[in-house]
Amino acid sequence: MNVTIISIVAIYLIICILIGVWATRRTKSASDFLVAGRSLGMFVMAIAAFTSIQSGFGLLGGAGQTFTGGMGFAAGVLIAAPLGFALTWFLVGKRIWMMGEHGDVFTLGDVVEKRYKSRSVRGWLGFAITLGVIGYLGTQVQAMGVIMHSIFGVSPAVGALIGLGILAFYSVGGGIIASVYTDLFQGVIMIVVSIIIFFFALNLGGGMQNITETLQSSDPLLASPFGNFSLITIACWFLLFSLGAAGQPHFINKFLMIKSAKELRWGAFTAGLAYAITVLLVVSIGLTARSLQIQGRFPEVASADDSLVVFVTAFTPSVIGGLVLAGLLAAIMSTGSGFVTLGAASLVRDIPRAFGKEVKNELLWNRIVVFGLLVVSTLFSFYMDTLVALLGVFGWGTFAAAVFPAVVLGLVWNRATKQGAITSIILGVFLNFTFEILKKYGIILLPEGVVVGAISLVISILGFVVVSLMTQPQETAEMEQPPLKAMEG
Amino acid sequence: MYVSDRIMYLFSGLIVLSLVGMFLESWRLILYPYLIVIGIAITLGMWNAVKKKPGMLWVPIVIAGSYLTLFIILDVITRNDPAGGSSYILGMTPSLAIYLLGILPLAVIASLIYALIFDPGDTEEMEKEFRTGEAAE
Repeated sequence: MNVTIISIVAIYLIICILIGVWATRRTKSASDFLVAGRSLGMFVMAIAAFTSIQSGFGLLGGAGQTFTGGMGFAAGVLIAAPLGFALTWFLVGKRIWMMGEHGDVFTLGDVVEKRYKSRSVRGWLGFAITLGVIGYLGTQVQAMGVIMHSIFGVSPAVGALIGLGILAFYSVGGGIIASVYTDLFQGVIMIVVSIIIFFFALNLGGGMQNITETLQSSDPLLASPFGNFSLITIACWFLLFSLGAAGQPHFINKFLMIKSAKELRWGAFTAGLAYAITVLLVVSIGLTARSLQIQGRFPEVASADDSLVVFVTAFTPSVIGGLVLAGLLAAIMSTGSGFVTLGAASLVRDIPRAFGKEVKNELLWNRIVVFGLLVVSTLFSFYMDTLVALLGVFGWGTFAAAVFPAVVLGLVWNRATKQGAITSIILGVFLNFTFEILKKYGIILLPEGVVVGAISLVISILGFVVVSLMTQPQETAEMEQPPLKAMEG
Repeated sequence: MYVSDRIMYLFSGLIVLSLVGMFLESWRLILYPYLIVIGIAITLGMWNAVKKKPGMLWVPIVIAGSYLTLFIILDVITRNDPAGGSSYILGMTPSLAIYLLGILPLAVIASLIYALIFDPGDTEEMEKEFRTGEAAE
């Protein structure tokens, strides 16, 4: 690999480490580690929210899917996700922030315990989040391996371990402070790189119309918004990635970190616009690379996931290539760091408290668990051994189905009960894992094209509503005033 | 004081339709009810504001209505041809242009609407009420 590219990526990694050192010095309590001491302003929070949603599977996997099958993945996943920001801010922005104002609230587990007056809901949510973190973090590990392999020439496994080492360094020490400030740095890189590469790729392809005509000459579907993807899959993705965004815990827990409700105002717009800009990178690289391939000008790739890296290394100047690869690592690492602190919070705070136990020295244990989660998720990703985009959809689906009803609908609907919440969490996790594991062994129970995460989300929502209506809503009468005020929104 | 149960039932009913669409393998039955769910979800989120000013219902109606309109146009023009026609809009096929120049920006416009209708006075009042309630405990 070119020295310029290696140098740019190395500088990027060193800056991440330096932010980690700075954040570690600022992290003095569990509150700092988990919610950044509730000190974030709008821009930092919004960019952290955007980078937590735009990750390795969106960029690396998205470009790969666009390259192989046309626009269907982008149409279903990437174009739906920005709507997710608007829906989430409308549904729970103020509500989660207000719950956070009510004393010792650092995690979504704290939120649901106050909402339902139930330690069981906290415990089940902590369990679901831990499983989802392991699955989703596996995506980031795998994507990191692909990039590190391309840059440094090491095997994907060794590349993943190097990236994980750096991620562990700043996440273990600096917790969420390191996460959000590296997110800010990484988010700005992603936005700048996306704008540059969009114009560069279109120019390389001879302009948009030339790219379109080349794609049409090979297969008319490649120039349509659906590509070669099933329309059912696209519709399922659209539902899952817009409504399900509000169920992504590494995103919605950011509402607990902002210093004032006024900071909510421009957050959705900032995050949504930033995300939409990065969609341009995926679409432009995916379509241009395919157009070049049709013309016989694009090298053979071993896997769809390699197409983006091959494009930037073979067709862009070294400086742009270095920035794009740094931007990709940024997307992966920013999401990964958010996950590990989230998983640690579940294991150290939510699950023990569900059993009436409080961990002494939470800060130390959070740091130890962050390290452990990184190891376990690495093993999981090697076991799953599937494409980055597909593993990412699985992680997203698990979170959406398990978290959306209990947390989001629970905060807008006063007749929700703890039994409904627990049912939806169990259904969400069970359906996602069962369908995915059966699929891995060739047993497919769902109609063709239906996305596991989407059907799991829909069923868990219905389970939540039905069981809530069937069980006595005693909680409403007993609920304390602050959570009730928060639910008004 | 709280979101009407009826809105929640409507939300659930539309979700049931999407579920039926998944089993019947009908993308239209999955997508179109969901586009209405978008409006219902926004209504659920801003229910307090809608109760104070019913005119605020324009927000979910405009957002969900715009999505419905764009997807219906897309559905109609791609019925016989995935490109949606032989012309080009900024170098894209008409169907791709609807997606990239209509549906993608609409998500950002929805977020912009959130910012524009955000009432800072309401937020200050909310924080004050909230802290007063907490102190009273």
